[in-house]
Amino acid sequence: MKTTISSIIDKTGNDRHKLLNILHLLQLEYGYITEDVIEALSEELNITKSQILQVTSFYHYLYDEFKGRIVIHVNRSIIALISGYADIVKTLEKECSCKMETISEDGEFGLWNTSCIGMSDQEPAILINGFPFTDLNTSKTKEIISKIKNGKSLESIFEEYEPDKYKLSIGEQSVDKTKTYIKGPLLDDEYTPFTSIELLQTKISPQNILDIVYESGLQGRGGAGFSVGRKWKAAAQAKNKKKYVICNADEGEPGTFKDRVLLSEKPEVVFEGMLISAYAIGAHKGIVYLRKEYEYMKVYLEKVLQDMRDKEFIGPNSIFGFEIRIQIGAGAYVCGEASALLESMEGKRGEPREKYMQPTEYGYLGKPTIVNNVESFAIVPSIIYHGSKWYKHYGTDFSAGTKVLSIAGDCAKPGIYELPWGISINTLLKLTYAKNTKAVIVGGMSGHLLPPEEFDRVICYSDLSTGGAIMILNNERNLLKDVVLPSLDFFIDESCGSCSTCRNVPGYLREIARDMEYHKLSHSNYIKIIEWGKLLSISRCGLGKSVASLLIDFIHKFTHDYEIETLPEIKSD
Amino acid sequence: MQKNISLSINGNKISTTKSKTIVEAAEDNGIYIPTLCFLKGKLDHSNCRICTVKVDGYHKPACSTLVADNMDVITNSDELEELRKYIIELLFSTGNHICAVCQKSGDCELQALAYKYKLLFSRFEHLYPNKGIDTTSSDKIIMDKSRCILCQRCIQAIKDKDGNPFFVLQGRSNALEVVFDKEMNDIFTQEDAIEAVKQCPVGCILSKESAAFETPIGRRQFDKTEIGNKEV
Amino acid sequence: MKATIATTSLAGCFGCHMSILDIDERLLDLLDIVEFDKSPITDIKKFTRQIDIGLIEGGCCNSENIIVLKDFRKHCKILIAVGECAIMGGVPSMRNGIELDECINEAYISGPTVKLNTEKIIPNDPELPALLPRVYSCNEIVKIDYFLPGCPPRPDLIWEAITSLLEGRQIDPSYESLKFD
Repeated sequence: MKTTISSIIDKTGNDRHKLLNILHLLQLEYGYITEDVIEALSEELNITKSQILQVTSFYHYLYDEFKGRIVIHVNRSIIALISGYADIVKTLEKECSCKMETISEDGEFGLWNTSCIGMSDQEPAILINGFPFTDLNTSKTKEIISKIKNGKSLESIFEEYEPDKYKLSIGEQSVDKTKTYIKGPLLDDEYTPFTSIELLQTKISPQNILDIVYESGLQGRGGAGFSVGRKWKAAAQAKNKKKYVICNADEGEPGTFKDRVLLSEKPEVVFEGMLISAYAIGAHKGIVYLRKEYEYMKVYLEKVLQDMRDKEFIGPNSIFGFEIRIQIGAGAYVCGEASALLESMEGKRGEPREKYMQPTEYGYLGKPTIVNNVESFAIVPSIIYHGSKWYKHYGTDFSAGTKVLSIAGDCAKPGIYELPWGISINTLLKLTYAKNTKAVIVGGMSGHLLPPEEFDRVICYSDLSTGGAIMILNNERNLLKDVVLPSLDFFIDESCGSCSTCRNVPGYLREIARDMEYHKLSHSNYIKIIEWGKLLSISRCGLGKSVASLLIDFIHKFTHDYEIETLPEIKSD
Repeated sequence: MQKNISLSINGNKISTTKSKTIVEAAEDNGIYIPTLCFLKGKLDHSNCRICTVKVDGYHKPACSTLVADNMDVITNSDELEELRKYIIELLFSTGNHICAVCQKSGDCELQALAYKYKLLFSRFEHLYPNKGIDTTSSDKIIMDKSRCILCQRCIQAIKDKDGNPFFVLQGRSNALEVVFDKEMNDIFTQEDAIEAVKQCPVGCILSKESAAFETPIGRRQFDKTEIGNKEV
Repeated sequence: MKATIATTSLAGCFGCHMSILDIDERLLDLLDIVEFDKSPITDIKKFTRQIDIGLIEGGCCNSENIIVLKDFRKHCKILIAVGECAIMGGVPSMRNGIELDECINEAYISGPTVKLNTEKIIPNDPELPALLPRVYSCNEIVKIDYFLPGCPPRPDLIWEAITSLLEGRQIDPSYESLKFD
């Protein structure tokens, strides 16, 4: 064992900061992180066992115990729950002869819940040893499991059922099953990848790029909406010569899958965007933080990077000497927050940092760093090519450009829609052929729950700001059971536990919400929800702040869905 | 190279030096902001949120927000005091804080804050967790984990000469725990142990050496003096 | 007419009652304005009328505690939880994280101080009230109007609470009278 571990450590570099990578490889080798592995690793890296456990115990996809030879993660997102999650669980439990969250007696199968694997348009979906199987139904699930039992290799089953995703997993280009219904400047194929790079070499200076991106009004597409140009300018001004560009592909927000589609269909422009930003701020290293659930496409992304190296756009021989590597995450929603992502990349627990210093000053390994969403990077090459004015004519005055929306749930056409900012929910419902819509969730678990009266609200930074997750629910849905309770379960599961508020309050809120299933909402409980919502809002990061958002929307806007004792007048702040 | 900075706290203009936190700047000027997890010199760490203040209209943790010119800080509005009470109650309810049997009683910062805010009971249901008592990991301290409020001060404050902490985190979310790193026991000195007991704001980390309940009631730290009141 | 007070000790140690008596000579002043009804102090066993103030010591660890507490709620206009046990379970609630069977086993069979119970009998007289799976605080069972923390509450706090209630003032405990131990 020692020699295996040594060779793995040699391969990744004997560096404490590469702990996640080392642990991934060790898990692949031994199935889970055994005590022996930790023992040997602690000797090799010269850190204590507890310090390794400190990291492993933080992530969902680092196992500290045996999870079964075939590890099945069943997606338990809101969309999965309304699309037949229960049936799939029933079938799996029967076929694998074990209950959820346990391992079968022979150790062959392990069934585990997971929050969202980014397949909301293809639910129900599961991950089998990391390979996604989507659009499942009872018979398909049965078939897949029986094929595994009959000794067929998982790769071949994957190839048979998910040919599009299988291709990516062996490094071939493919078009995902996800349907793209409306294309805009980002998704239409008018821009030929790498044309902007040519411009960099001849006509455009780093300062030009900063100015163009700033003037274009591009805002962060991950959800927070910080001005991309301003972020880049800050990083460009930072004095440290070593700088980093990080692409946040930790698409953990339940209901969103647009980054997955962008990365599988347009990885070139994403990487090109990173290259342009690196040129603009003076960085030499780029890292794509890819969530563990999307690991299957890593081979393809590596191939695209290799092509770029061959063309000398990146790599040691390229003009700017810029290099991009892919870092695989380990399953933690909170790591989608930029500072938590940085911590995670340094091989630590992915806890958000306090905001007294911005990553543009003190980022990855303490160096100036920009962290941007996949979608933010992807549009940059087109903006550079066409200019800021071209981009600004899409969207509204204060929200420039288009947004790639992941739409799922109760509609006839779930999939990807690239639309200019300023579009109303009503229009979206028409485009997707949604009928009898009872509610729309904009922005995933941390977003807004909208009743029909508010369907005239529009998607833009000044009204409904979102990272792109839209979930549609029709009249048959029980919002408390299908939305509110799962959202609280989700946050309880995903909290890092640092803040006293976010660690403790969600559990109490869930008790109240469960109570609402059977009893009237009492006046005192109503007050508690509002007050505790405020208490949560002083948590450190966005996760903690938004734990109660769906619950609060629910009790304010869907009063006909549950019984109330006496409801006081709602004061608006 | 220290720069003078002027800001307003609760409407009073004060001047201070750059690189100070709001907590420190306020303290220098006789304004007390309650803290539990705060450690001088450590910024990247604000877990208890009790020091939350309003900075230019936004909630910020005073223990890890640096002062800046023309900052407008409010430390004592009704809203903030209410949030603080909630946090104290939350910490009391989610742990086992039975003061009568705790040897930290009278010197406990969590308890002292409850005294300060005259808390009579908690609005949160008590959870009565049983996270166990660790008596074996160290030969100098015991840890009653059900009392831990996860302020992480022990992790930040007590390190060996290479900067490795003696205490580490384990787990996440509501299963998060602080544990003593067994492998470090050999180099864990009595001074470290005393410091750990001192840093622990509650009765989680206790010394095996010193006798319990040594100081008689009436002479303990917070028996007569309110926390944050400097005239001891 | 004098105000009436009833007191009881549920899962408590009578320490809070001691603390009531500890108001010393003020006890005489108190008796000028109040009359003790059902209480261990008077040994009156049953409620015969509505009472103004009920003081509850201790939480609920067995079925009888719950009956008594509910009876107090029924007969008292104002119910005050006196002491940590009544407020949040206190010392008895230290068993809450442990299974009941394990507690009983430790107390009567396998504990290090169990020497004489050679027949290993767990008390089983039908007269004994049943132990609850965990200790409950009073406000988990009935509505409690006021809380007086302390283990026991300082006599000054009890004095301040009762007099201010009778005089219709807001309770404003001094720093030194409000302690949790």
